[in-house]
Amino acid sequence: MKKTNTYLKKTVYALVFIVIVLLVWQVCALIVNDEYIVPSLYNVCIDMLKIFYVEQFYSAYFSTLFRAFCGFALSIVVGVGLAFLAVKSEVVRNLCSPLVSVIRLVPTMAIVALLCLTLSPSLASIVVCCTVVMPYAYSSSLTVLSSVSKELLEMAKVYKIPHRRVISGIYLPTVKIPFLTLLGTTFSFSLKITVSAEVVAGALKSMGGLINLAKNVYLSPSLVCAITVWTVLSGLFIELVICAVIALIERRETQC
Amino acid sequence: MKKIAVILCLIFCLLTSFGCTRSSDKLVLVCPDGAPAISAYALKDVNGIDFSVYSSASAPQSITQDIRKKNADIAILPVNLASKLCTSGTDYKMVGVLTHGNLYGISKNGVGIDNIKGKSVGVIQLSSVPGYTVKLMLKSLNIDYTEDANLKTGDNVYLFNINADATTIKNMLDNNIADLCIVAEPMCSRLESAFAYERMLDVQSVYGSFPQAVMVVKTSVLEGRQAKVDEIISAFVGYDYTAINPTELVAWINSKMGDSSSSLAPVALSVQALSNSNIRFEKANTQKEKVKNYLSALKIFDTPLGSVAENVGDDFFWSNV
Repeated sequence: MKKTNTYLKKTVYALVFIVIVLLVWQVCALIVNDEYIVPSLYNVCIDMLKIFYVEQFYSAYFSTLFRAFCGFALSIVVGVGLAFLAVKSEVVRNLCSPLVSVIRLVPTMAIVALLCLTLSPSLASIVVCCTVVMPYAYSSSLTVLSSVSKELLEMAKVYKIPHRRVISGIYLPTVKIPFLTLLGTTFSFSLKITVSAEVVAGALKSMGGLINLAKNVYLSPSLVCAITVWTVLSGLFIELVICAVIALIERRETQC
Repeated sequence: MKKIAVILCLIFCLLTSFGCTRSSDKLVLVCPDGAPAISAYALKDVNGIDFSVYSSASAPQSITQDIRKKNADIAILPVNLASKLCTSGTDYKMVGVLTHGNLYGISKNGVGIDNIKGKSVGVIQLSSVPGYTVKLMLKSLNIDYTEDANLKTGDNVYLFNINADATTIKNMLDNNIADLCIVAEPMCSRLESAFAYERMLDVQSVYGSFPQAVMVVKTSVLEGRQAKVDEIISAFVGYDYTAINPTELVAWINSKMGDSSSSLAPVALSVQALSNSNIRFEKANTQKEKVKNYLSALKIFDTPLGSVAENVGDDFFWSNV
């Protein structure tokens, strides 16, 4: 009952926040009174609906989601894999620390520009996504994996418990909720980076490419906003799905 | 107290008047970097013009704002942008065409228009006028094209977007990612001379020259300052762009770009490059049908999300030229 009230509260706060943002947006649009600087909410909503009738949008949308997913999957595999090794070995940990710091510090757009020299814009977007998201996945995974009880792991070593049971019995219970949360936030972050890279790289059949078209050829800032809003909503939707999965798991554990 | 307030007001007015950059007498000319900026160089000795050159990245939005807010008196801009912003000819009219197409294909392996089927072709700005023009060229030759690498066959051409920088194009050609790269001058001449690539395709020869960048002028200026407009047109007509000193040209363009810098480099602006850039002023009344036909052709690329260009009527053109 308490948890349900918490979720309800969070939902209400989120809805209030959305209403405030929309109000501020519309007030700004009215004050500025220039569609090219601040498009009105009405025109953006119209464009958001118009987009559904355009075949071009679907191929762009799903291509972008696919690229974001590829970048996300790659960054999770590399990030979590490195974190796992770093937890096991001090040497790996000490080697990874400066590597991850350097990767984190390299300007994103510089990476895009460099990758576009040899890779197609599509592939460049995936690699950029992985490069930017991986340090975040590594750091978060390292924190989560480091929180696993060392005493339990020692006990497992002493009693020679098989690796499979160590993972299912010791690691999983500790890390599953934090990892699921990490997946949700990492995917929406991947989506944001992928779209940004697509804009710079000029990838065709992409949300980034559509933004470029809307901006440079159609001269439609409301369409740019519409595409951006759909991108944000997609990321939010994934996060909500992950939250729902986490809530289900927690409820099941409580019932057990 | 009153005296102090008056003095403060006077000081404020004096300070803000120094802050005003626009003189009411000077005409403001805006254009993007590249061939349009080179074309504007013909006016460098004409008094009474304030130039603003925008980088290629920001040009569409900046020029759009300048025209919508009527901050620009004269604009040199892509013809499709001009058709969208000045369709009715009420506030601005087209006075002339300044660039007539500067797209060329270079290859390392001898790939040209005759053997282009089944090949991969990199095109700069594929989703903009250069890309649309290449597609129109292929359509005019009944050559199919695709932008999906999975649909490439021996009978069609695979088109993909490339960034307009020498290193990318060099990598594309050297690593056989692209069999042919369609780029604009002066980049083409630069690559040809630096890396011994072959110029295999002149888009203008195959498709025909097309109105790439046009000059529009505010109607109030056309009606109220005809003498100045005539002076500007006279400066353009017959100007020899191949005689320009490249170093001075780039320095002049950079001085008009504020915080940005030009993508042009003196070493790239050879006589051949300037000649191939097809920069020459042609008056509006001689280019009417060409402009209308080209805009009409671009309309096939319209989608429900937006239009690439707008069809224009006779009011779009300044007939007193």
